[in-house]
Amino acid sequence: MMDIVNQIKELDNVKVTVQRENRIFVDVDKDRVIGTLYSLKLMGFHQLSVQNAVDWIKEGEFEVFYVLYSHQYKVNVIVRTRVDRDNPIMETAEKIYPSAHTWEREITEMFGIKFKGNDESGKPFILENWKEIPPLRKDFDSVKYCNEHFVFRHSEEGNE
Amino acid sequence: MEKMTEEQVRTIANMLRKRSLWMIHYCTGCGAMELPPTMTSRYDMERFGMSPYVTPRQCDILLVTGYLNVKTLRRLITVYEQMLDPKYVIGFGSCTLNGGVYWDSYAVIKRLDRYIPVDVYIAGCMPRPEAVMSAFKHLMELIDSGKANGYKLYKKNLAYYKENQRKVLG
Repeated sequence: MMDIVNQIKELDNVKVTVQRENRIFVDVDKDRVIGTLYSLKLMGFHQLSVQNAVDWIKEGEFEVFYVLYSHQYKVNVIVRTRVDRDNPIMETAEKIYPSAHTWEREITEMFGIKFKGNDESGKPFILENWKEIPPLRKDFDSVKYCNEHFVFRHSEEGNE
Repeated sequence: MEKMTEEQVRTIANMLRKRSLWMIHYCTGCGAMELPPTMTSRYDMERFGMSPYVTPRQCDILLVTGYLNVKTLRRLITVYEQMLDPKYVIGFGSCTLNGGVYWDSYAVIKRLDRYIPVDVYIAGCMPRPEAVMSAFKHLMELIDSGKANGYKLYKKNLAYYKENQRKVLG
């Protein structure tokens, strides 16, 4: 496993953290993430297991991460990058990992992060007739939304 | 031979209906997990005269197993409207009653009876197969005494149900 860590450390502008066996975190800038993914794919990380995002509202940033797996080394590599919350635009990874196409559609719907180059990013995916801000952002108030759109049952009430 | 009155015909029809209930196998949430033991040899609901079937056109019972999000509700209403009269709805689990553990979720509807009429509710998370069969038994009694009138209510109060449906489905 140390071979692969050393190989990853040789890439440009990456910060490598080995959290535990088989789990390596790679932090990169937004501009370099596609290049890093391409280099990792050439190293043997052929599978994109998960791509998703985290909302760090106090820092004003979204974190987008890619979980890659290598069947050759049996190692998970998690590539993390940060995007500005006010202007969330990124490059798409679908040219390198085709399955990113669908993950990116989901992220666009749930967080509002746009992916340049993915022509279906922004097309409705899971939610139907959604008019509010994207629901997985931390400033979305779920209870308030429920009170506006649904009617709760109180324990004394019977069947209508 | 004397001609039977309408009341007598209805009584006989109800008595026969309750003995042959076909349930549409449309699973919406995690409650579907309780159905395999209910249907198969462990609890065997077929000895009470109930069996699962595949198409809505030939079924009497719509068993709503678990939470319904807005997207599933649209399909559920389609299935319900495809079923022929007489049809009965059973709400299974606390999610159909009041949202259950998803009470603050933006995607899950809270009360099923605002969108389609429900004849019997089963409370619990999860209700065990015994509870499912007890609900079926209760439903049979309601049918026998002519009190399971959900499908008539849907026709009578169609404007109310459609308005509620339009509010969430758009």
